[in-house]
Order: sequence, then C-alpha cells, then structure tokens
Amino acid sequence: MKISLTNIEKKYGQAQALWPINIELDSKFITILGQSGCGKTTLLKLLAGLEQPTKGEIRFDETIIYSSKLRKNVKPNKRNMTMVFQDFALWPHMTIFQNIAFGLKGIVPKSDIPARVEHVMRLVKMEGFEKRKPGELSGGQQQRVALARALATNPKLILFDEPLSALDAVLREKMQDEIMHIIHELDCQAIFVTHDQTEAMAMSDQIIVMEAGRIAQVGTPEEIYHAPATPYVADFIGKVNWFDKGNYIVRPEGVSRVARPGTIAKQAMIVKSTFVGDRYLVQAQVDGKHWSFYEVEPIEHGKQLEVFIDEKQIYQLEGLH
Amino acid sequence: MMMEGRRTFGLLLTLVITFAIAPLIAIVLYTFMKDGQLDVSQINRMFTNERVWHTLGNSILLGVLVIIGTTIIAFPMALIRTKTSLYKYNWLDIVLTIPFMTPPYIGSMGWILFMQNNGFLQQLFPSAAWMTEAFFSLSGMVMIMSLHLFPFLYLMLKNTLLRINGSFLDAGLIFGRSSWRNWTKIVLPLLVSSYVLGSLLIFIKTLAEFGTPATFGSRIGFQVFTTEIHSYLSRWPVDISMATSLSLFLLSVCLIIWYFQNLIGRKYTYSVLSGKTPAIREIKDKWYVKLGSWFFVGIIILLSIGIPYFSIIVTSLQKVRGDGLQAGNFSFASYQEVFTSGSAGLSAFLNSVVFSIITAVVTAIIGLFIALYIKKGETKKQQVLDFFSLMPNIIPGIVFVVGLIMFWNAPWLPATIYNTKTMVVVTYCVLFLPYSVQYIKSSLSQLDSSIFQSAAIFGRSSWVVYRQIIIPLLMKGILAGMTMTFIISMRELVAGLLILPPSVETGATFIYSQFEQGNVGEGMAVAVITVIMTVIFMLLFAWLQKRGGHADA
Repeated sequence: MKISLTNIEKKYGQAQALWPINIELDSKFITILGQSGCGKTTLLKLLAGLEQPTKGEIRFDETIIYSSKLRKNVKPNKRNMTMVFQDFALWPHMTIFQNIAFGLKGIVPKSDIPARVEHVMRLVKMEGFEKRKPGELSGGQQQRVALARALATNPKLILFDEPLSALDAVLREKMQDEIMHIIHELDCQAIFVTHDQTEAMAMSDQIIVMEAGRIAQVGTPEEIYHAPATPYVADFIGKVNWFDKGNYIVRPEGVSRVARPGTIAKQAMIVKSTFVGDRYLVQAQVDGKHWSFYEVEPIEHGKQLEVFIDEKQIYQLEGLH
Repeated sequence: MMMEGRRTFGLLLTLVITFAIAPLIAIVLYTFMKDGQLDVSQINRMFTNERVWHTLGNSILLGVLVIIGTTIIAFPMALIRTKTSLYKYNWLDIVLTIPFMTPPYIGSMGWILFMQNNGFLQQLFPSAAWMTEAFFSLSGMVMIMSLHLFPFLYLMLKNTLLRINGSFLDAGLIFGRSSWRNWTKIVLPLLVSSYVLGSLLIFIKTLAEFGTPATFGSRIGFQVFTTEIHSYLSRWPVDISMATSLSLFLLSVCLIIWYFQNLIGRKYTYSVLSGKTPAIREIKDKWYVKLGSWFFVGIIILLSIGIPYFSIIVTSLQKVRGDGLQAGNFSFASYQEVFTSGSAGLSAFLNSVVFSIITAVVTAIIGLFIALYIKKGETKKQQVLDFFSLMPNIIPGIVFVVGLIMFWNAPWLPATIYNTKTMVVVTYCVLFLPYSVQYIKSSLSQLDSSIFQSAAIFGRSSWVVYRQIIIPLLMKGILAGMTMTFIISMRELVAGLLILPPSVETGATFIYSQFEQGNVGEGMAVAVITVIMTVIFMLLFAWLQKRGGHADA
C-alpha cells in the first residue's frame, strides 16, 4: 500500500507542530525517528485519525483518507489500520480475550471470533492467557497482547507508538525481533515511531528522520548513515567526525592509524581510549575538532600521532553546519 | 528512620483513642449499660418506638433522592467539562466548588428567603406564587441538598473521565465499531466504580447533614436522624438515652454503607496502567452543543450560587424586610450593628475565628505527626492509626458530638473540659483531623522515598532534617489542610448548638438562632461575612494547590 501525504500540516493554536509535509511511503517497515517533541507522535496520530491535520490530504493508495479541501475525514476504525500504544492501552476491566475480540465484532462472524483470538495469541506466543485481566500481566506480556489485538483484524497497516520504550533492554531487543518477524510474515505494513536510533536502524526498510516539526531526511538506514542530508541527521545517527573546513564528514570506520593508498593524513592528539567490548573507542583532537575512531589496542592519553582518512568515505553535506 | 519508634506510636494512638475512640465507646456503654449491668431495655425502647422507624425511612429516602439529584447535576456537568469545548475553562471548577463550601444552612436560608410567602420570588414575579407551595416539600429539600453536595460527585466523575480520556479511548476509536458501543463497553464500566463510591459518600454525607434538615426540614416537618438526635438533647423533656441509641443506630448505618463502599471499591477499581497524561485535544462543538452546555452550566450556577447568595446579600442590606425590593429600603445598618464593638454578632463571629484558627493549628500539628508516622501505611500499626484518624470522615459529626458529651460528662473523670471553650476546640479537632491528615498524606506521597534516604545520609540530626527538608516540602499540604480546616470549622453548626457553654455563641449558632427567631438582618450580615471569608480562603486554597502543582512539575 502506498501512503501519500500532501501538504499535511498541524497547528495547535499558534504553535506549528508540523510544517507542511509531502511524502510517499510504500516500504513494508517504516520508522519515524526523532527526539521528543519533534512531532513524530503527532504525525502518527494524524495517520491514525486520532488527531486532525490543520490542512492537507492523506491517501492510502488511491483512497482519500483525509482531505481538508473535500472536508473528508475517514474515522479511525474505518481506515483498515490498527495501533499499538506506548502505554499498551489495554482496557483494564476486560479480559485479554475481550480486549482482542472487541475489535472483531462486526468484522468477523461471531462463531469465528474464538479461533481468531487463539490464532493471534499463538502468533505472539501468549496462548492460555485469554482469561486473565491486563492488570495480572507483566509489562512484556501486556505488550504482546497489545500486538495481538492490533493483528487480530488483519489490518493493512499497523502503527506503533514507541511501543518498546516501557520495556527493559533485553526484552526490548527480543520484542524488536519478534515484531519484525511477524510483520514480515504477514501481508501488512508497519509504521513505527521511536527515539532510539539503533532500534530504527535495526528494524526498518525506510526511516523518516524528523527535526522540530519538519522531515529532515527520508531514506534507507544505509543512506541515512552514509549520506546524511543535514548536519542534524549526521550528528543524530551514529558518531561523526567533522572536518574544520567545508561540510565534510567521515564516520569513525573511515579513520585508521594505517597509511594506505587513497588516504589523507592528519595530526591527532589522543584524549582518551574507552573499551567498548570488542575494541577501543579512541577520542582525539584533530584540527581542533573532537573526533573518534576505533582501535584494537588502547592508545595512551596525550600521545601525538598521525591518522589516515579513507578519501572514499569522506562525504560532503549540502547546507551549512 | 524517624517517627517509627514504639513510643511515637503509643503516644499518637493514645491521643487518637482518648479524643476520637473514647467518645464512641461512651455512646455504646451508655446505650447498653445501666448501673454496671448489661441492659438492652434502652435499645429495645428505641426499636419499639415507631418514630424511630419513621426517621430511618425519612433518612434513607432523603439519601437515595439526593443521590439521584446530585447525579442529575454532576453527570452532565462532568461530561460538559471533559467532552466539550468548555474543558478549557478551569475557573469553572473553582466556581462549582463554591456551593459545596457554602455552609449548607446558609444555602437553605437563602432558598427559604427566596421562595417563602412574600419572599423575593413573589416580589419579583407575583404570578409565581404557586411555586412556593410546591417548593416547601421533600423535593425542595432534595434540590437544596443536591445543589450543595453535587460538586463532590462532579469532581470524582470528572477526574475519572479525564483519566480514561487518554489512550483507552484512542484505542476504542481505533478498534471499536461504533461510538455507542465504545461508551457502553469502555467508558461506563470504567466509570462505575468511582460513581458508586461517590454516590455512597453522598449518601453518608446526606445522613450526616444537619444544617439543611434543621432549617428547611423542620419547616416541612421532615425529621431525620440528625434533627431527632438534636431535639432529644435540646428540647424538653431531654432524653439522653434516646439520643445515644439513635446515634448508635446512625453510626451503624454509616459503617454498613462504608463497608459496602469498600467492598465495591476493591472489586471494581482498576489501576490505570498508563502513566501518561492524556493529550488534550482541541474540541470544536456544534453550536447547539456549546449553547446547551453553557445553558446547563449557567442554570446550575444560578441555582446553586446565584439565588441563595442573592437572597442572603439582599436580606442583609434591607432596612425593613416587609417593604420588599424597593429603592430606599437598602442600607448597611445590619453591618453597622454587627461591627459595633461588643455586639452579639461580632463576638460570635470572632469566637468562630478564634476556635477555627486554634483548630487549624492543632490539627495541622497532630496531622503532621500522624501522617509522618503512617507514611504509606505498610505496617499493621500504621494502618491502624490511619484508620482511626480517618474515622471521623465516615462517622457523622453529630455522633461524635454526642459521644464527646457523654465521655466528658462521665462521673469518674477527675476533671472535665465540658462546658468550657476548650471543649469546643477539642470537638472541632476530632471532627476535622481527617482533613489535615489527608492533605499532608497526599503531599507526602508525592515525595519520592529517595528524598528521605538522602536526608538521612546528609542530615546532621533528625531535627534538622525535619525542619529544613521534610516540613518545607510538606508545607503545601499542611497549608491546604489548615485552610480547609479553617473553612469548615467556621461553618460548623451542630457541634456549637450542643456543646457551647452558656452565653457563648459562634457565627454559625448566631446565624441559626437569629434566623429561627425571625431577626434575619443581622444574622444574614454575619452569614455574608462568613461566606465572603470562605470564598477568599477557597481561592487561597485553589491558589495553593495550583502553585504546588507547578512546583512539582
């Protein structure tokens, strides 16, 4: 399905939460990445229909979902889309079965509901919990149920509003894998909001980086890492070394102590080396800028040495830093 | 850390038991014991008295009708304040709590002055005379009491609606098939528990209410528990044993309701899993929704504040009541009379102020110690103290007053405070201690335990820790509790009527007796002064709450 946004903008009173956005999305797993307050959740809620854009048009394929000109606004429950909420939003007075069945009434014949609930509960590995209430489950289990509820209606699109931010690191990584796995198994797309760049990198086919109510860049994880569109994106995603003149950058992988053909040399003064598990992250002063690169061995503090930069990995940004 | 020792517990418990539990025991003993022997004849006498059953029927009927009345006002109001564009006018909440803060007997007097024969309604609209007769009935009384008590239910419903407004409803919008189904399956079930809790509290408050039944109910011959107890104690022939039996009966009814309230509360209360504050969305209403909402809010404000306040203010300014609403019939004479030094009104009012200030200070200090001891109520001892200190909330004030009279009149006491001003302050303290405990406890619960831990590590002595860290952090709660205690002490009527020493009056008893004697001018002037003072303190209270909220954020 192709999701098209045309001149979509959102104002709260006088405050511009989203500047006009024009974008077409058709990848299977899309991430909206940005710091808190950048408008990423607002964008998601506009897609869900929980908030109304101030202006513009949203289409799912050729169907108009929202249009300020035509005064058309399809209700959230008619968009063939579901959502997994940050706080799970499982209704506390209903059992897990009732929570999932709630969205199925009127879509699936009544007699098929139990089988469908069982099916999605198996997908998220939560069989046997149907009779419990949300309050009796752990955070991770509630997260799975929220996912099951979103899967139950066979939606074309599932929206995820920072669903993993309430989980601890180990569980989070596990859920990332499972969500990716499930989405790729099924015939549906996902739009995933997060502020965690590694999560975005690991999960998505397409990333939308947002900054202060604007889209800073849209691209695959590789494009965004190697060819950031703006200094903001460059700094936000991974580590970056800036040259003192022009808008040139190089990632730490492009810097080494070994001279090879096609490299340029720079003087570096070592600030410190930090062990990061498989290697050392070395921080140094290069032309008065703060640089970092990786080494197998630690280098002692204060040492002056030459580093060599792979010319092919130097990238020039448009716009000013 | 501190405030945990056995000695602290013993001290606080002794204090609470002497002042709050002993009176209740005194009632039980007085009812069931005679000359050191168990004696059920008194309680039997009560149960064979038909008037008692009639009173019980009246009280329960009144309670049920007031629940219905408050629901009719509070439910639409809560919806209007959460689902329409009126959600942004937070000043409405302050305005809507004024009726609750207004002393109920003053509200009733306002209505009586407005509706009675040749009252303001008939003077303004002579053709509306037929309404007078309709009004002086049970339905009029239910209306007055509902208009007084609805803010309580309204705030409970509104807060619950706000809490479920967030992602629970968003999820409903996405997964639900129709908004009707979302309402009946999601919103109403989540609202049930707070509605049931709120309405049972309304019921208890109605049973405990004395002001309106005493002023309005006595005019229409509608007797309830509180007025019966009062009349057994104050009208000839005084029948103390009947009063204590009735008190015990009322106490039991309230405890039963409270038990059910707890049962329901535990079963249907869901912890809201979301810690997220729901996003407030701009709401655009259709014009008729907006018009209807404002109309409803306007009517309620007119009925609950406009009419009673109009009546008491105009009455206090009238020269001759018989001359009606005419230019030239207005003066500040009543106020001048009140403010003449040595006038009965002024000294009554000042008595109230003094009693209330002392009560506010004493309850703040005791409440602080109790709250610091209870903390989160994790141990048995803490829970026991918590329960005892909050008991006056469930038990009608008049029961405590009767108990205190019994206790301090006991022949074996070597000395008694009965018939002194100290007795008044002690009674007020017992009645209003829960307010200060609750406010301090809630501001204590907002403090993270790390604050206590870091204080324990860095503080040089526990005294320094208390003075420089704990008490300043709790100041908001302490002040809020004091303000609240002051407001309700100023208006307390039944305690004053029953325990004031001869020739001492409070503002409340002064207003009441002036009104009963038909000498309303000066009484209403004191009422207006009381009400103005209440509103000022209420605004102070609202400001304290708001300022505290900002500091925490």
